[in-house]
Amino acid sequence: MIWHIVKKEIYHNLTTLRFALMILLLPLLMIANALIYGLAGGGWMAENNTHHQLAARSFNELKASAAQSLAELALVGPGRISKRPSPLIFCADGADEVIPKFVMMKSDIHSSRSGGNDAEPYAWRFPWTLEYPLPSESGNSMQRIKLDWVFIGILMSFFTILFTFDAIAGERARGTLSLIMSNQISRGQVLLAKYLGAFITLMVPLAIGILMNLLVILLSGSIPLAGGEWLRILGMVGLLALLVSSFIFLGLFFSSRVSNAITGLVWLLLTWVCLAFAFPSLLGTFVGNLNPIPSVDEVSLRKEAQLAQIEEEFREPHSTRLKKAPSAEDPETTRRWATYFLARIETQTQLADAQIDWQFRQVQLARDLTQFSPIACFQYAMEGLANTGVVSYMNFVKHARRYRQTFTDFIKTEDRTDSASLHIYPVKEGLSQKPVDVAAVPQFQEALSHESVLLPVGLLILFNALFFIIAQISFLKSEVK
Amino acid sequence: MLQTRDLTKVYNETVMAVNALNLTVNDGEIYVVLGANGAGKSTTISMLLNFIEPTSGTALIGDIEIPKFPLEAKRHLAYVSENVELYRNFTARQNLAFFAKLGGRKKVSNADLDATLGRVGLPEAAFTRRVKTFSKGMRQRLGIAIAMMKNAQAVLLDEPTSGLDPKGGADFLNLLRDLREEGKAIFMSTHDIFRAKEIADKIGILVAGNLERELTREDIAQENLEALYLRYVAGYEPAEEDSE
Ligand SMILES: Nc1ncnc2c1ncn2[C@@H]1O[C@H](COP(=O)(O)OP(=O)(O)O)[C@@H](O)[C@H]1O
Ligand SMILES: [Mg+2]
Repeated sequence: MIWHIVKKEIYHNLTTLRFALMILLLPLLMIANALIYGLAGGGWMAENNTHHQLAARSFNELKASAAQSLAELALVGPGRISKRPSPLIFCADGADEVIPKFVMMKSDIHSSRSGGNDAEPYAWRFPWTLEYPLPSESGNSMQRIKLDWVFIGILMSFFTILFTFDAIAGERARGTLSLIMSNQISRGQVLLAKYLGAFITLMVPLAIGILMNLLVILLSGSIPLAGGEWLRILGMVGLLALLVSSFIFLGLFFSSRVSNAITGLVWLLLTWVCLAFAFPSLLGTFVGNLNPIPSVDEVSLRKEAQLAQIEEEFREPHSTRLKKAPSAEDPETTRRWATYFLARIETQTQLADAQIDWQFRQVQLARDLTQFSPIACFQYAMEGLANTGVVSYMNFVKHARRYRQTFTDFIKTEDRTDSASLHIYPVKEGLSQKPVDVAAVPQFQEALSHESVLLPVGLLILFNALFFIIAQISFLKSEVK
Repeated sequence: MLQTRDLTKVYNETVMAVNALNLTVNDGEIYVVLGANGAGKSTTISMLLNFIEPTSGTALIGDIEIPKFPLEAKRHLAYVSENVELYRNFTARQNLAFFAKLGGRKKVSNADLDATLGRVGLPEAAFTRRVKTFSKGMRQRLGIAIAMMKNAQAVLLDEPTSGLDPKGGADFLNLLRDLREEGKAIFMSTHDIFRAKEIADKIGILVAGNLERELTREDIAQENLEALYLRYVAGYEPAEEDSE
């Protein structure tokens, strides 16, 4: 019984202009997406090559330090740590180009003194710390529309509105709703049939578009996709389906409430604009004003001030603590230098971590608030699956911090095996002078985390349930004629 | 047999649309309910089809209580609405086939469809034409074809003849007679006295939700229906009647 209506619904939709528009537009956009992300400007391949070159260069530097000595490695650090570019960026761009793609764990600050004031001449290198690059502040790149799957998904939610605004109001106006309802069919069944009809009508062109998109990517070989990525793509198709589904329920809700389909359309468009644009950007601005991020200048000023304080404490002319240069024969002096270096490391680390944590909290807050929109949930879940966007950078930073600890622990453990060493970290003269086998040095590994996907997906499902319920209640109470 | 028992509808707790309606439509009988706009005709039919719930009272098709077992009841009810725009982009055949399947027909062949379409007087060329090209009369015929195809025990028609030209109206009444021949219980609302008089086995005059008067065939033949109707409906008594 339901299927008769579903079939009628699909057939009816097929004869409409909006369907023609959709079936033309979707594959076109999907192919454009594959071409833009796969080939334009070298596409993903170029980015991936750059990543590998940088990683190789960093590894060679690490190898050179390790070949010199453990002490050298301990001071220079593991080098530049880059985030692997996600092959699924064509699915969710996540404004990736303004988000940094690496962190630095490398020391290149040298200092020296020529002596005088009773101080021994000495040249040294400050130990490495984990430093976060600043987001590339190319403001207009934020504005540019990204033709990723997320954008196409948002477009789909718009099409969904076009297909549902008159789904019930239209039947009521034509007098066919009462004619349908004069048969052995309940309102719930009619609503379900309407839902399925719209869902199939919308998903089939989308599926065709997606297939063409993946076909172009496969055939051009522009973005190699592994098994895990296919699975994530499948998940994204599921997300698209959830988004479409939630808007069908929303459309049916409005359509059942109004007597005039055009009124329903106006309401739906207003809602859509709110959910897609106004609401998220307003909240983002609101959060930004509520809790302004300290500017880069502010932070660097604070850092300078604190470092200057340390300098004063340890190195001022009247301070006797660091008059002598560290050496393997003088553990006491070496230890004093270690205290000085560690104080610097702590200050730098604290400030850098605090600054980025603050930014992350802002982002998280803005996200948590905007998750009241199914479109935002969809976008965040897509970015989570694609491993792009701010949250994936957060995950990368989390792993980088873990690696910071792993690397330091490795140096200390390795140093303990050398009985000739003073075991004073992080002073060059206080550490092992033996070369290290580069294979033993722990490498940075970024484990993908799809944890950030759970909440938005859960919410998206919740939105579906909620919209289903209000559509159901509204339709059950609505008039047949 | 279609029956109402103290069937009552009060909208928004203030508007008394139908007030304790008691009437019976026997099989093979055409019951016409006559009433002005707002008299409660559509409300009555809506309750008979369970589009709305009665405030009190009930209605029966056979021995099935409609408000209690609406799905079961609707199997035995066919409906012709006053607004039969139907699916404009579908052909007459497609419209009919869709509603036939909804009405519970398992297999509907084109031959079945065409037979019904022919029976209601649609020209063969129109079978495969889109309904948006149809006149009101043609759509009304298609509407009754849909009701016929369902082959239900009772047929409910809400002002089906409004907007039909004389020829169309006459043809339409003939279709109703066919249905009566088949033994259907036919319940039709209208404000058209002349057609009511022509076709009805029973006429109920509905005024502001109250069934003011019920007339049998004999009553209809004897009484001056126009005068009666005007008296009840408009609260207006023609001057001529006094002088007679
Ligand atoms: N949904 C409704 N809500 C409130 N009042 C209604 C509703 N539908 C009809 N009415 C009122 O009920 C009365 C009967 O209406 P209706 O049954 O449509 O009359 P008819 O079909 O005889 O013209 C009218 O006064 C009308 O205004
Ligand atoms: Mg009416």
